[in-house]
Amino acid sequence: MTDSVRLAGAVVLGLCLLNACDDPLKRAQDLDEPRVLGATVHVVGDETRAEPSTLETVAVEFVAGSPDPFQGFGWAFEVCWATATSFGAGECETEPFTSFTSDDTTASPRAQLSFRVPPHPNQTAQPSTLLIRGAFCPNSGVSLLDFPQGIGCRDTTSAPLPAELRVITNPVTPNHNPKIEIVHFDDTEWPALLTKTPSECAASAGPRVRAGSGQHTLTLLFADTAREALSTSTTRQPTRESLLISHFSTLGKLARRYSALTPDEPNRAISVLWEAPATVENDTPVSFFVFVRDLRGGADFVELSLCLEPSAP
Amino acid sequence: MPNRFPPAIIALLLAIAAWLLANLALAQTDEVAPADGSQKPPLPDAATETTTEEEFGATAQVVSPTSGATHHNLSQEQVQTMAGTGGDAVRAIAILPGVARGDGDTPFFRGSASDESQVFLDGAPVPLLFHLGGATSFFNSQFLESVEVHPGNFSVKYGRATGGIVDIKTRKPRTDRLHSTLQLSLLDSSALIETPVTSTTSMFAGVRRSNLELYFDHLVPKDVFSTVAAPVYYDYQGLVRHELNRDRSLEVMAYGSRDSLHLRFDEPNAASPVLSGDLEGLVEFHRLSVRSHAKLSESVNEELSVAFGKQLGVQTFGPWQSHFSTFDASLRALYQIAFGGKARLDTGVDVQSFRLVGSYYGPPPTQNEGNPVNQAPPGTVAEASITDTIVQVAPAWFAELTLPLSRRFTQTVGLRTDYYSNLKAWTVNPRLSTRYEIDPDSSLIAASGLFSQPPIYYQALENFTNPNLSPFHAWQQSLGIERRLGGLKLTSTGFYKRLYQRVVGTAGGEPPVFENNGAGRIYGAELGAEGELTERLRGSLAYTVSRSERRDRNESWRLFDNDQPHVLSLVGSYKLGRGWTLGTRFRLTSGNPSTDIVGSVYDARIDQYRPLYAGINTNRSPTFHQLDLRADKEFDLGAIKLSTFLEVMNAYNAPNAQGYTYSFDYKKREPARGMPIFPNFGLRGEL
Repeated sequence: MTDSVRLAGAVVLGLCLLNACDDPLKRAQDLDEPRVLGATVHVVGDETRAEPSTLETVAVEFVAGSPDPFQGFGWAFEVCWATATSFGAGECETEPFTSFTSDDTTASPRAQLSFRVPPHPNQTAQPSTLLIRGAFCPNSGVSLLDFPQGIGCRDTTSAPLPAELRVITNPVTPNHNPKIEIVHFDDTEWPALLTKTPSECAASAGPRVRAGSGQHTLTLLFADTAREALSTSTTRQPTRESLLISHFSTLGKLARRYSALTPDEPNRAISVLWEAPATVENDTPVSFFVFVRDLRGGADFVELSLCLEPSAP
Repeated sequence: MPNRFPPAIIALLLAIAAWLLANLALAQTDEVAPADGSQKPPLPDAATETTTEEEFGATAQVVSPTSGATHHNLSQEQVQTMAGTGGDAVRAIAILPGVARGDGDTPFFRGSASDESQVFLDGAPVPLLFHLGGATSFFNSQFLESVEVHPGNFSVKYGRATGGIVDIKTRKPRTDRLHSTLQLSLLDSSALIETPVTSTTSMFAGVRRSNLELYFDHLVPKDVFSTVAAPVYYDYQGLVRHELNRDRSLEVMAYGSRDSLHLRFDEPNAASPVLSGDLEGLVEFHRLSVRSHAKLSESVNEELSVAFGKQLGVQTFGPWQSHFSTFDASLRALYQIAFGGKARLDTGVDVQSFRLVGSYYGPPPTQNEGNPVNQAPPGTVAEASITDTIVQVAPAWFAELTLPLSRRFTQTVGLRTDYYSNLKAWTVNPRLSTRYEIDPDSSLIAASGLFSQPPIYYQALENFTNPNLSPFHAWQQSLGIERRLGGLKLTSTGFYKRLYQRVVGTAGGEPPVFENNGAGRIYGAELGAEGELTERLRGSLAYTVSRSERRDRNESWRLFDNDQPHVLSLVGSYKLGRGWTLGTRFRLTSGNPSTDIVGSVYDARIDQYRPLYAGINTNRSPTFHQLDLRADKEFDLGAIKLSTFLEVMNAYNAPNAQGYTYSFDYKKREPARGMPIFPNFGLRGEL
């Protein structure tokens, strides 16, 4: 364990002093190009559960995002049993038992998959790991051959966005999805109304902000039950979940990539500052995407928008 | 578990027998040693060991090992004004042949990993060699007599290591008068005292504490985390020596060290989102040792030492925590017996033991070396947890016979047997070396031997990792030449090591997580030259060329993580006169192997991108080069001796990129620069 202390020190100093604890090359919270933003899972018939049992049907939704509100995506995903890997992309232990494809690049940028969990060929009734892997392609269908190196977009001018998700099946104790209860923008409840065009933006009942108006506060409130209790075998283990919140915006600057609710944090809300752009020419919709994860497979997602108005003359 | 004797051991035993027979046959045709016993191996006088006189800076002397195949010498003068070391004798090890550029931990000797080497202080293993991962060593160099460095083919007196050995030896307290010293530098402050107590008793004591908290707050980004406690280290040492009679002395020493750091992230780290909240590291140890030297007769010396102490380690890394406390005890008894007028037998026992009480919650353990991420991305695997009490006892017996077979041939044959209680395993290590004196200034030295080491304790835990692991082994060969040329000592050694039964991770980290299924091969040559070029100019050169490879499970051979084919160091110091001394050190080494990232896959479970790697260690970081400069000035103010130094590390601010920093999606990267130019200033007053 002395080794691990030394390693911890080196990692902390390396991360913090050299990199100043933020990505020095690219801000992940700025959605300035098409990206995959996350995925949610729930058992069909019990949307609170994130981990299915054998023969239950599970619904999975991958979410992509883009600064262009009209960006279309094709996508393809396949599902297999995962093998244990130390690093790199997930690998299939067995051949994929189902796959899903959409070449409709005019549809919403969501890949919605639903399938029945078959018995694991070797480990019936024990916790096993499903691997769901595939890709989105902006404005193109996906050619899903040998994951991940063989993935390509049918329109070769597009770059594929490979993504994967592991889902535990037959858990010893069920894991429930966390839920975002309420979102506030500058202390006012923020309705989940989506706007894509300047005219929709002008007519929206959502928040309206002037360009150059400085910093605003985005606040997320969670139910006290969102952080589930954990069974522990040592005193070192946390007694309940942590929640990791990822937030993205298509314009302006969010202060950071992640927020967190740690197990011992008494507060049930997190706030993050967002700085409005200095100028826009017309009413411009700004999209916000928020994912919350319990880092055990449970997740929730909300997409919001506000209308950015030109600054007063 | 029964011990296994691989065919290689049997082959080695046969080779030893053949070699002995061949040497005996050669001896028949060589000149016979003089009857006066002038070729008798040196038997150190236990009660009258040489005391190193200290001057400014470090007082330690890095000297050749007294037995074994390798000889590297650094004089006291060279260490005390050596640029880039802060006058720290242990950090000076880095300039020796066969020593690769390290990462602040135990050095890499001849292509071996740092955890394959051992460091001893007066015969007891050292838990933590450096403060803050390499800033300065745990023991004040003012109190050291020597630092013996064995980069390979070391004596059977040492074991449980397949790489090299560093044996740090304390010196006797001075007995002429009271000495007191205060030293201040940017890094730390220390106070030392040394005095005779009675005509037969003397003592020294020292304490040192870091100064980093005075300016650490200005180095850290306040908007990201708050500093709860800046990095702090301290160490202390105290020794009382009593001459019981002319032939027996007794030393009681207490020493300890502590490093701590406590940060708090206000929000999760962008690079690893599970890292939020507290980040705390604490490691400390305290030890008491009793050592006795005795000359039992004209032909028998005895050295007994017992050390025991306590270690504490605490690590909090966001939600991950580990906490352990350890009580350790070690015993060493060494008898040196001269007989037959020509031969010497060194024999004894060496016992190391500990009882660890600890708990751990965090990522499951994995293979560190040869694993580009060291562990699976956080959140993708279930955390491992364990609370346990671990007791390990590792006794060993060793015997080494040094036989001058003729005036020119000296043969050393050794055997060491170790037992590991946790593994229920024995190892038997035969080792031998031969020295052939070509002429009074030149010698050829050949050595071969088997070296064994137990797995790290957490790799062999019941219900956690693999309790059925065995010790792993290295078969080391070397052939070298030593030559004196005026004031210079030249050494050149070729070496070859074969590693087998290495402990590696299982495929995919599947239980039992670790297995004895790795191999290694290392070969190379080293060249050293050091000495006085003129009365005022002193210097050394060391160059090592080597290749170190590993194979995990049945995969193909790959480069070792710290394989450095070329390692060059040049050191010099020049006495200008009027108390001025200038020193310089230049290092030029190959960059470490690196693993390229060729793409990434977004992992929706943790909102992180998983890098896709090319072949492990198939690329290499840029060449490392660094120039360090130092100037010392002494002022003689009568009763007070005042000294000051200015040291500039990385004087021309070489970038020394080691690997890359990547953007979150691995689409952008920039070189990760090494340590920038770093000045250090110090002042020392001695009364």
